[in-house]
Amino acid sequence: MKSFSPKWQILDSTHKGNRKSYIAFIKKIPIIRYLISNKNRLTAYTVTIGMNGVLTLLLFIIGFTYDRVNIAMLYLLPVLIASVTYGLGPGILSACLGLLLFDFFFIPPIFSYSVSDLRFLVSFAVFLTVAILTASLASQMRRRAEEAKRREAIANTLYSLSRQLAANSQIEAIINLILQFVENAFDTQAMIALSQEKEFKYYFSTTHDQQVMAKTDQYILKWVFRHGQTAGLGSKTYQSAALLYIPLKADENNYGVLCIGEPGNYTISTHRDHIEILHAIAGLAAISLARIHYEEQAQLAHLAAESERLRTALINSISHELKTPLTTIIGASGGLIDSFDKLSIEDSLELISTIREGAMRMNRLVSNLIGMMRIESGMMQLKRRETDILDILGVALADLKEILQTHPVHISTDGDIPEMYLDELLLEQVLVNIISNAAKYSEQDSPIDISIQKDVQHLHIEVRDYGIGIPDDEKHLIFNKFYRASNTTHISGTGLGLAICHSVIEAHGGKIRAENAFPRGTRIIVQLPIQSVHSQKIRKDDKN
Amino acid sequence: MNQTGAKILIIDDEPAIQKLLRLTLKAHGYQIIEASSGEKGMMNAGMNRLDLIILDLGLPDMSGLEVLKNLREWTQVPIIVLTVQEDERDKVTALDLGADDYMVKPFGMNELLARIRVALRHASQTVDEPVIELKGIRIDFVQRKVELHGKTIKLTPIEYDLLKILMQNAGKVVTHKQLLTQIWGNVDYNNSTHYLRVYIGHLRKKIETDSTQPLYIVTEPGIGYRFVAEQD
Repeated sequence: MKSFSPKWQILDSTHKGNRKSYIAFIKKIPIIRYLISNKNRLTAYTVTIGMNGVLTLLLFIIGFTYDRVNIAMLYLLPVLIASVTYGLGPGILSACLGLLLFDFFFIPPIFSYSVSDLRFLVSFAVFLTVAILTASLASQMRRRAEEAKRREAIANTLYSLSRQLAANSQIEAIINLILQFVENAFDTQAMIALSQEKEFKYYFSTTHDQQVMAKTDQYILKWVFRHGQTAGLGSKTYQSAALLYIPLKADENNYGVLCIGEPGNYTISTHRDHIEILHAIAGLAAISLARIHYEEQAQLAHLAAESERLRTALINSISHELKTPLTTIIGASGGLIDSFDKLSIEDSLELISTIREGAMRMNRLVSNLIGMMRIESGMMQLKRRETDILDILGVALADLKEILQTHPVHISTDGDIPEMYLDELLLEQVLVNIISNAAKYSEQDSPIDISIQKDVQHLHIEVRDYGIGIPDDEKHLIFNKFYRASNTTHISGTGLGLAICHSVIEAHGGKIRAENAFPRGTRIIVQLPIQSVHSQKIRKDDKN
Repeated sequence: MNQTGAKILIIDDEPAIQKLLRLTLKAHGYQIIEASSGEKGMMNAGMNRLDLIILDLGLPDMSGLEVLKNLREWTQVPIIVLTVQEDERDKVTALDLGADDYMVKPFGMNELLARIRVALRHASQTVDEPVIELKGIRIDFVQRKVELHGKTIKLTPIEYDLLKILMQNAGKVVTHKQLLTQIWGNVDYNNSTHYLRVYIGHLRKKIETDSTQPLYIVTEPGIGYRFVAEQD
C-alpha cells in the first residue's frame, strides 16, 4: 500500500510542538510509516545495514586497510545477498551504504569523506555502477523466481478448485466454492449473478452478505451478460465502475456474471495477471454450470421419454377400463329410456343396478388415476400424524363392507401394537387396495386373513387370501404401474392399485412385497418402520 | 319423520347435480330452492326461511368457504358442504367454519338423505335434553351416568365428555379441533390429536364389542370422529 501524507498534516503536527506529537510526526514521515506498516521490509533494511556494519567492522579489525581493491570487491557481497534475498530496494541501499563506508573507513584520509586522490572518484563511480547493476539483476532474478512460484501455486489451487467443482452437481455448492475461492485468494468480496429466465438470481458467499450487491451497477451487469465481455474496474470498458464484472461464458452460452471488488481495494485492477486468473476461474465456473445445465436437460429428456411410455400404457389400459363400464351405462340407460313401458319393474331395477355398478367401477378407476397422478407429479405430501393402525384398518374394512360381505375377514394382532407416525388417509388407501385385491382375486366366501405383528424396528402388516396367487416370476413386477399378472386377464383392473401402495409405502420408508401362500393364495406383506412416539404419560391426568 | 316439507337451498353451479338433487329431494318431500352461484345463494338465504343449505365448495364466482363464512355470520341454519376434493384440509376447514357435515362427490343419495335427516333433527332439537338414548347407550347428563344396554359403565371424566359431545352431535362428524377445544379448551390441536386418539381408544374398549370394527364411534381419518346414529 502506498501512502502520501498531504502537507497540511505535517504542518499541523509540528505546530503542537510537544514530544508526543513529535513522535507522531516521525511516524507520519512517508518512509518511516512505510517501514512501520511493513514489518518484513523493516527487517530487510535492518539486516542490510547490519551486514554492511559487520563487514566494515571485520575488515577494519583484520586490517585490510591498504588492500583497497579487495575491500571494494567485498562490499559487493552484501549488495548481492540483499538484492537476492530482499529485492531491489535493500540492494541499492547496500550499494550506497557500502560506498559511504568504504570511503569513510578505508580511503585516505581515513574517518573522513574527503578524498585525497581524485582517481578514487572513478573507482567509486565504477563501484556504484557495478553494485547497482548487480542489485537490479539479482532482484530481477528473484522476482522471476517468485513469480514462477506464485504461478505454480495458482495453477495448483485452480487445479484443486476444478477438481472440487467437478465433484459437485449442485449449483449452490459450485457457486459457493467459487465465491469462497475468489474471496480468499484476492482478499476481497465477490458475488455471482446467474441468469434465470430474464432475471438475475444473486448468490453471495457465506462470509459477506449483500454489501457487494449494493455496489453493483445493474446496467453494467446486463451489458456484460449481453456482450459476454469483461467490464468494470481494471478492464477496458466502464473503467470507473466500483467492481469488476466477468462473464461466465462456456460454449457461446452465457450463464451469468461474476462481480468482484470492494471500494478502496484496487489490487485486482492494478495486476494484469490477477484479471487473467479471475478469467480462468470464471471459465471453470461457467464450465461447471454448463455441465449441470446439460445434465438437467438430459434428465428432462429422460423424463419426457418415460412419461411418453407411461402415456401409451395409460391410454391402452384406461381406454379399455373406461369404455367397458361406459358401454354398460350407456346401453342400460338407453334401454331404460327407449323401452320403459315394456320393462318389468325387476328388469328395470336390474338395468339400473348395472348402471350403478358401471359408475362405481369408473369411480374406482378415476380415484386410482388421480392418486397415481398425485404421486407421479410429486404432489403427494405425507401429512404424518400419530396413527392407530387398528383404527385405520377398521375404517378400511368399513369402506369395503359391500365387497367383504362374501369374504369373512380374520384379524390377528400381536397384542401391543405401537402407535405409528403415518399419513392416515394414504395408509387407509393402501389397506383398501390390498384387501380389495384379496377379495377380487379369490373365490366367493373364501376368507381373508389380516395379521399385524411387530418386531423391534418394524411393523408387519400381512394380508393373505386363498385366491389365484401370483406366478412366481411376476411377484416383483406387480408393483409396477399398469402391470397386471398374466393369470388375471379374465378379471378387470388397471394395474394401478399396487403401484400406488408401493409408492405410498416407500414414501413412508417402508417396504411391500408379495409372496405365494401355501397351499394357495397370495400374501402381501407391508413392512413399516416404527418411529418414536409419545409414551403413555397422558394416562396420568385422567384418573377417576 | 316430521321434517318433510323442510325447505332446502341448493347452491351448486353444475346443472346435472342441481337436477339430481332437485329430483331426489323433491321425491322425498322436501321443498327446493336453487342457486347457481355464491352471490345468488347468499341472497336466497337472506330472502327465505330455510331449514337447510347444501353448499358446493367449488363455485364459479367465489370460494364456497367464503360463502360458508358469510352465512355463518348471521344464520345457524344447518349447512351440508359438497366437495370433490380428496384433500381433508378443505373438509376440516369447512367443518371448523361451522358446516354441519360434508359429502365427497361422488356420493350415494342414501347417504346424503341420512345426513340431511341428522342435520334437520339437530336443528329442531332443544339444546338441553337431560338424557340421550341411542342404539342401546343411555347417557344421563344430570347424574353424569352412562348405561350400555341397561348396565352402568364407568367412564373417566374425559371419556364421559367425549361420549357426551359425540352423542349430542350423533350422526354428525366432530372435528379433532372441536373435540379438543370443547374438552381441554385452547390447546395446540395440531400436536394433541394423539391424546384424543388414546381416549377414543379407551372409550371404545368400554362400549364397543370389537374396536377394529366399531359400531358407535367411527373414525373419519384426518378429520375427526362420528357417533353413528342410524344403521344404514
